[in-house]
Amino acid sequence: MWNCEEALERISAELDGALPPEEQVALDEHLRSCAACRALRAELAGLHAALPGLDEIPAPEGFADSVMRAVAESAREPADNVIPFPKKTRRSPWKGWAAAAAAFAVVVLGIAAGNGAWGGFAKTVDSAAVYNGAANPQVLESSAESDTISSADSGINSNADISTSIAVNDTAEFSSKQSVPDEECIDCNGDDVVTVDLPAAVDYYEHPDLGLTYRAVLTISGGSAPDWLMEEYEFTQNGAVQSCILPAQELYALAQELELTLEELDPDAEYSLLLVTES
Amino acid sequence: MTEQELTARAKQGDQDAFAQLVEANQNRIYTLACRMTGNPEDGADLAQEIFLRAWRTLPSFQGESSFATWLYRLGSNLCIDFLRREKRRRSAAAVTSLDDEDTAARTEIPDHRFTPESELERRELRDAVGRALLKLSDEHRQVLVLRELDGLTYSEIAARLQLEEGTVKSRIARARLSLRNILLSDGNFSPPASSTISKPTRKE
Repeated sequence: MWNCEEALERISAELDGALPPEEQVALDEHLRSCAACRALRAELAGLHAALPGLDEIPAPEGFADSVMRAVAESAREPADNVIPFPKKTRRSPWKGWAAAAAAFAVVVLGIAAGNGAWGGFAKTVDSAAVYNGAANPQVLESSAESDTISSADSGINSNADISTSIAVNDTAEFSSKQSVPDEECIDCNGDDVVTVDLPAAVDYYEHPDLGLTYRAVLTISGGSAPDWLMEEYEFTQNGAVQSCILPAQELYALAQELELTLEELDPDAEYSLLLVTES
Repeated sequence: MTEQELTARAKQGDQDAFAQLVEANQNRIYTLACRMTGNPEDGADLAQEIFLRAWRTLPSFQGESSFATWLYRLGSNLCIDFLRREKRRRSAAAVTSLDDEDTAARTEIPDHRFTPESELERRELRDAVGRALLKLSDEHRQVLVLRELDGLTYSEIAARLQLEEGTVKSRIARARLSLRNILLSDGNFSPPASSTISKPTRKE
């Protein structure tokens, strides 16, 4: 004999036409002896009947215009229909703020370097990381790819250094070329700090049923997948393979990041597939 | 111009044609986004994002279904993504959040009931249900929208949300119970005085 909690699930399944016949018998039996569940069934049936008839909510005034403004804007962007092969990026920019924070660190780094103030530099890199709160560790690591950071360890860690560096950032002009000795670290033009445009509101795509083909596939064996990758993305386990669907450009950035070769498939597709196999 | 013609033109980059498609579908998509997210602000942002995504993805649309169906599915997927991000954001913010199923299991059935009988009552019920739906937890609202408004089966919902079918089944049941409890506690119905109902016994 079921208790009422167990009966609830069957009542619900019955409404959806998903109750197996043998359970129907048991449910009827329960309902015969339980007035509360009989009443509950009637109420849930009322809701079930009411739900599909809910009225549409009218879109706010000016909604369509605002959509079309956004469309017009996106049409002006170069990355409209064709996804270009990403330019050389210094850091996988799947999180705009992370890239921005890294850029901040690099710019400040440049100022410090320009001034020969290594102690100040060490501190500013720290401060950029702190700035991010729960920031991902790559920000720090990426901005510090040149070995100068170790030489900066002797750091003068006063708060004054931070504010000075930031204040200088507001007024002084430094090119990032001058500021970053390691050419792997950043493209030369300041506007290339973030080279891959991603829709601001979208982090991940995990639905293989979007009905889209894939731009490319990147396969990583589990052993060589860094921890941060596994934390950063939400994977779906399919047998021995974990998969994650993400915007095409993001995968290119990631492949570059990890120095791995990806497999190119459909040049028109918007999404890419990241696979992590058991090692 | 038919939807098909408009779609073909929009696919070639015709923004005016796309504008007509937006016009024709905006209420449905906005409704979807509001019902899934549970609030009009997120709903409006997400609805815009859905159309923008549709515009960008249109070149890969093969016409295997109608534009409206394709758009709705795209929208539904973006809503699911949105809720997943929200969940992750929230769980990052609040470490000690109670498990959804667990919380729901503790929901008591209030000592009232409603049985709408007249057309007016049904009308009122629909309005109240629409409001109550927005008060459900994201997880409950999501499965209920997919089931009751989009008409998906348990297995389809399970595939979309990457859940076990059994989880979907029990979550829908709890979502229904929660919805009913919200309706009652909101006082949208004046319950007959005489009824009593026992609290469901917890398993184990």
